[in-house]
Amino acid sequence: MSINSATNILSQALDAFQTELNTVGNNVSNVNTPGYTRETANLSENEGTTGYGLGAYETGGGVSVSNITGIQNALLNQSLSSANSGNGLYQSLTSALSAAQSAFPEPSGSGVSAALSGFFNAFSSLASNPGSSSSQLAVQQAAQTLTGAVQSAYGQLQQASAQATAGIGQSLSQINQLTGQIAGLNQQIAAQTAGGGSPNALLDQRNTDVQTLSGLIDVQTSTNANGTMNVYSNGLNLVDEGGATAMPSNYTAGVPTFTDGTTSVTIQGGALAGGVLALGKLNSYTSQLNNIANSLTSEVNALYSTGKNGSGKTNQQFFVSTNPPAGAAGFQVSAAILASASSIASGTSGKAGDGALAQSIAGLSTSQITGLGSSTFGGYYDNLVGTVGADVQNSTNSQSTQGALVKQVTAQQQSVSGVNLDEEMSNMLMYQQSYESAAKALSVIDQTAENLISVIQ
Amino acid sequence: MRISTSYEYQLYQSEIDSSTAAYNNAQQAVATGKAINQISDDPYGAMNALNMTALQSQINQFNNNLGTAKDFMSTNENALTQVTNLMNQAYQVAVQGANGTNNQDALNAMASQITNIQAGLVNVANTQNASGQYVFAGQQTNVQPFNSSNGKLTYSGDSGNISIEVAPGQQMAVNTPGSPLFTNLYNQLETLKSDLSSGSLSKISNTDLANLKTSMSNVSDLNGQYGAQIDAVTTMVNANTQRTTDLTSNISNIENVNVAQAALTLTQTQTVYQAALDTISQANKYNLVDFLPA
Repeated sequence: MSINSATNILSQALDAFQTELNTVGNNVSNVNTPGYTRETANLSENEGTTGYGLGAYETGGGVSVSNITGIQNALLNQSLSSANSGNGLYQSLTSALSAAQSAFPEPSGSGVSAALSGFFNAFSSLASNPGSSSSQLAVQQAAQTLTGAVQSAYGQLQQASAQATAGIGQSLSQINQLTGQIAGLNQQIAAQTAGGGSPNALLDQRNTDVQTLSGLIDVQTSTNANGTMNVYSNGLNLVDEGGATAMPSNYTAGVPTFTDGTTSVTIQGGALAGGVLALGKLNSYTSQLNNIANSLTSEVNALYSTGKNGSGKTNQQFFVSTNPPAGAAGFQVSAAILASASSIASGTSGKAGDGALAQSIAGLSTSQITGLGSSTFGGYYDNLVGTVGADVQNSTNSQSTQGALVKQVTAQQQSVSGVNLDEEMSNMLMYQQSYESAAKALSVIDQTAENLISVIQ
Repeated sequence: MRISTSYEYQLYQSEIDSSTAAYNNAQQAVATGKAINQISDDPYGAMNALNMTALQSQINQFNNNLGTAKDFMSTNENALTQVTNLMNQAYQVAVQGANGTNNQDALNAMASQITNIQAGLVNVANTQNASGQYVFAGQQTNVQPFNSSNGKLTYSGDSGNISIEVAPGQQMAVNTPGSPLFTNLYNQLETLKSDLSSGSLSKISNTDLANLKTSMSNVSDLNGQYGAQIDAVTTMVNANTQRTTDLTSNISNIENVNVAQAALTLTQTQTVYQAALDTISQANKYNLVDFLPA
């Protein structure tokens, strides 16, 4: 045991404490950095040296930093990732369904419901005042209001569908971008790990990427011995040691199964799943709206074609009829009726007092319509509105549940990995004192050596 | 539990976000007075409200139809009252003619009185309602139904009924085709006129008077029938009005906010919002850094 070795031990201690202080500095600097994992310097005692005096004895070898690690809990990261997937799904579902909801401006009185009532009421008025030109005008206007309301709802639904489709495309390209990034990080991490380094910043970045990815698609991860990470989604390999695989991009609305012809995967979460599910709902709303338009066209025309107007014309169409039926997009009042309200027939005899035809068309409002599953027009539409509202409500509720879960898991994850400034300050005091003590000891040993040297002189 | 410093601020932020959203919703509820601003606020309620609104609109339409029916029948009623008056006059002339004290000149004067009554009757038979419809023309409401010349009355209407839907599936016939009603009356008057002109007083007292009496009673019955139908219409309108009032209040219960409750919610959410703001301004006044030597 020499004075020199004591000096060595203390100078290593100064290095170690300096590193600890540096770690505090890094933690404090990154207190607001998203995805940052707080780091700690792990110290370990150096191997001792054996001395020989009256017997063999051993002195400690001092301290050194074995490595600097990020403090995290893999299980919490996985929980956060799955909460993010749930949140992503309901976020994109809610946003698409809310856009669709604006197609149904109910119960404001400006939607299809009021237009339907107005249409049938106008025919009822015409039935009571068959010869009256103001009643004929009212029918012409109510019919245009109805076709306008149906077409406007259809337009809004189309817009919402287009948005959802674009969202799915964006999610797919973002997924491929992120998996590519993760594969790149894997290579760097493997290289640094092999070199004995601790690539904490890269690990943080990869974690952040995985969390962002899980907002888009539900993923599972596993870490390999060389530090690389495999990313799967429901059995589909997205990233492995060989690199990233592109996400299959073909799908059917309403079914979150993606295929590229050879591989296919059914996903459970993330904005991608939400978008595809939303698209299915939007298609179903649209087809119900089409049913209303087609049934109105066929039912009203079937009656109206039996009519005879004041100038003796028979076999006329009220709504434009096409084969196959044009749905809500092509729901229009026929040109003859648009051109002249006075050509509207109210009866089957052409007599001025015959309102029988108008009455049977007005009666359609309470008829059970075969094309609408034996519902009335109003009942079928009310049901559609109720379905849309309930879908939006459910999705919104699920979104807030998932949002709360994300918050809760984030709190837990941050509790482990986040930086707390008070804690860093208190650590800093501890490391500072340690540093001061070591420095003091060094100076005492130096003094001792000087004393010894002066004795020799 | 350890709390990360930046997450602590994120938590404050999300508390402020959610309390702002709640506060805004409460403000919107008070400002618009609407509980359902979009369907998803209350899908079941929105469906109910839609359903009731459609029902209300249908009932209003029936009230319109009932109004049309009432107008039509009131026109009939007025016309039939005039018919009764005219027939009364004719009856009195007939009674006077039948008593045997009149010379032929007087009888001829009576016959020309009947001619005037016939003209009045044809006038009434061509009655138009406010919308210009000939009410005694069957379904040919746009064609003048009666023309008389040389003691013959011709009818160009038909025997069609005008019926108005006054309740779901319930039709009310509101017209009486002018023929045979007016044709019979006219012909009876024609007979009376010729009996007066020819001095066939026994025919007047034996058959004409009795025929007139029967016709008058028929007209009076018909008039009574319209009176009863108009009463029924009035009752239905009142019942419908009551129903629409009830529906309005039911719809309002669903669509509109309870003002007292909304005001209370507004105050509550405001308090929460203020508390959240207070918390962040008070939070972390103290930090270990403050106590470290400079």
